[in-house]
Amino acid sequence: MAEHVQKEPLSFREIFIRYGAVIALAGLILFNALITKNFLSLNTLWLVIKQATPILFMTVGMTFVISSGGIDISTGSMMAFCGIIVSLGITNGGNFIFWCIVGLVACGAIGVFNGWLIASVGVQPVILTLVMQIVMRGITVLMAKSSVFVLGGFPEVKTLGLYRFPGRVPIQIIFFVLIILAGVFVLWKTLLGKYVEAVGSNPKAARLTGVRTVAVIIGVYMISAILAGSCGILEMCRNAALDPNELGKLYELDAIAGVAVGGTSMKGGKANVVGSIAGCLIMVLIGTTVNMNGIPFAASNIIKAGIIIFALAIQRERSV
Amino acid sequence: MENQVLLEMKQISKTFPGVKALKNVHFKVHKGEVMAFMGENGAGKSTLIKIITGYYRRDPGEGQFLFDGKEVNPRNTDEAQKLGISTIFQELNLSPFLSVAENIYIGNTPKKHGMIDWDTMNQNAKKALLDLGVDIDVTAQLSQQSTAIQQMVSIARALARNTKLLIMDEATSSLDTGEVKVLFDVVKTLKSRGIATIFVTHKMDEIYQVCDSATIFKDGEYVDCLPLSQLPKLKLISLMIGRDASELVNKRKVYDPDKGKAEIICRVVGVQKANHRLNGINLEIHKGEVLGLSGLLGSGRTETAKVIFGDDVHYDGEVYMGQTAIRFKCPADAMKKGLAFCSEDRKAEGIFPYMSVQDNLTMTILSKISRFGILNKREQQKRTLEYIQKIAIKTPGPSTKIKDLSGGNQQKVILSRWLATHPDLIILDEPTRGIDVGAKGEIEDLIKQISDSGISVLYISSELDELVRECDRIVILHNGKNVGELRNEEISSDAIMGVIAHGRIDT
Repeated sequence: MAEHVQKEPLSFREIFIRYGAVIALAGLILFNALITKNFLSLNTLWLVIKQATPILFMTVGMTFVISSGGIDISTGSMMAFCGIIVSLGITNGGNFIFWCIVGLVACGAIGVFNGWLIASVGVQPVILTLVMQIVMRGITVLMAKSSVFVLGGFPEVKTLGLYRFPGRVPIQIIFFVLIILAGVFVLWKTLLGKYVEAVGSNPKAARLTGVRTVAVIIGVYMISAILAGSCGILEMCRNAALDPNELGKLYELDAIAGVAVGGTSMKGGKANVVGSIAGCLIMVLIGTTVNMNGIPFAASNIIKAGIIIFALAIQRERSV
Repeated sequence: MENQVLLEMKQISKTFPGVKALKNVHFKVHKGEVMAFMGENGAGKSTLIKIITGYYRRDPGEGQFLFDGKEVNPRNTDEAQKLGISTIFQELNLSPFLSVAENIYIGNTPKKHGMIDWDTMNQNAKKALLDLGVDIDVTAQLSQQSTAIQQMVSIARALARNTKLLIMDEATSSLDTGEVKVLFDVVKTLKSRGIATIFVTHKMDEIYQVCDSATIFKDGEYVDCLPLSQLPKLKLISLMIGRDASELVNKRKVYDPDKGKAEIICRVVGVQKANHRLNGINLEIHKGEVLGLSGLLGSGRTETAKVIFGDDVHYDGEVYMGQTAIRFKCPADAMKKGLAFCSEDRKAEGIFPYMSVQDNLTMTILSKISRFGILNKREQQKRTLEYIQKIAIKTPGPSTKIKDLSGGNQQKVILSRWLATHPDLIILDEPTRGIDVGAKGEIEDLIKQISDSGISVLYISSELDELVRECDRIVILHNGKNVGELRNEEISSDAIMGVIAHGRIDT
């Protein structure tokens, strides 16, 4: 009914939702610069990039899923699943690149399956991906026969995980830049990005305006699975080892937290990929801060929780 | 008793950041009076109602809010309800999975030894509903009841709380003609008990059936308050829109007899659904004609539209486009064959609320104006500006979020979205629902232009006046079947009502 068209300047809250993660990231850096010893050095930057790159892949994937109105909590297990395929392949004498592709294709196929169940059959995304999280972890452990793979002897793994360019610049910076460019490009500039937002905003209206919503949702979960698989490969290489029970455990929570802090609406319909990137860096930087100041690691989870609750509280629908 | 003032508001103002929504408004409601609040969208009716019900607080300082002889200032809806002010909304605030009786007494349950006294509650609920002329099983789950019954339940709930003033905000929008009549009978019963009603609606005819007087607002200001006996429809509309309205009303369309002979572009043959919502629909839509689809709520109008547009794929029977039988898998397929569909529920199936006018308007043609999957934002903006100008969409700009536009302008964006696809047949399901009088006229004019440009229109509406003004031919449905057809000069409100009534007797 009679809603008044109000031209208001951006309120504090709106500014915070839009740019909050970037502001918070800047704040966190400033805080560290003042408090943490040896923080302001290139080494810290390289360390953060090295740590953040794998999880950034997952966070970008999660941004797609959440802005389409869904959620994917199977991504942590997806990492390990991709990791085990590559590990088994190369320890049996296979080509590293070939088995990476096999792993990513397998992840993509599972993502398509997830998307199909959600879009066509109508299974709740939270429940489905929770089940998939458990199942994928189980399959991974079975494939590994519960053993830990040490992969330090494989030159490709070593290069992808530990190589540094002159000036101690880690190899991860290539992927760091690539995923940011790709994420921003797809969500800002392409039809797919617009369709994802449309489906998240109003799925019925999207269908009735000719958006093939089933295909969009399948695509979104496929992207999420492939990016999670990539995250698995990068993380496995960084560790130069694969523990099928542990790799990727609870990573999905950091990714979801990064998206939430970044200002993407948890109800879907509004993607803020730049915010997600900043949110992801915040999550990593909190870990670094805690680490460099000698605070117990478990404390970082409490700080993260506080930040997430604040981000969600400020995102709430205005009641009046 | 009759002339006792129940509610009096003097010099009420309400300021939102940047907007003064109400300016020194005043009015009185007497006990047992049924008063209509009239005005276009943005006139301040909703704001005023939200102040009366405690949802908003009026600007402090000047002004008075007197209820039942005392000055009051409800701070929230709960306080207003305790005073005896209840509201029935279009979207009902009921709990679908509780029983009918529980819904009536929720928050107010009769208790025995600290436990819910189910027997008393169910008996009271039964009696309360019987008073309103509704005889149903009160232990049944609410969601199993029709919207009309649910409306009665919310009225019964209000009465169970000793309500003295009932506010009905667009309460009839989702009811059919028969159900509206039952609701009005209830309002008349309440009137005899001294309960006052404030009625807000966009449907002009209804207020003449039930209201005693009308208070008219425009741009947040009080215009006038008159008994309806002294307020003919034309005068009322003129007061609401602030200019002479005679050109808006009863402007019968000029027929072009050739339209009925033009080629058939879409044919529906014997369409049925297993759930018996459709039981054999037959339609032929000629090129360039406006075919009206009339019938009561639940007669299968929207269902038919959704079958044609490929949104509903579970049906038996055939849909032909031109000469070929076709089964669309989804709306995207139907769009490729030159179909367009404007849903009756703008909020749930039309707009993308937080997206821009530009994205909303070009969503249907995005894939056409993109290359290799990359958006062409310049083209998007160009098309948007073109329609903003052509159709006079009132928006600060193409990047404004569509939720910030008025209902009429949102509807114009949605119509533009479909015109941009250059369709052969556009299906309009209740295109003027929830839109104020001025914008209604504009939308109707727009539909005339659409059909003049050679696009066929399938026009679904509950408002007979509109069908009479707009259509070349009207097919009347009842229980998912065709029961009659009127063409050209045969068309009148009475004739449509006659066929609907006849259909009712037949089945």
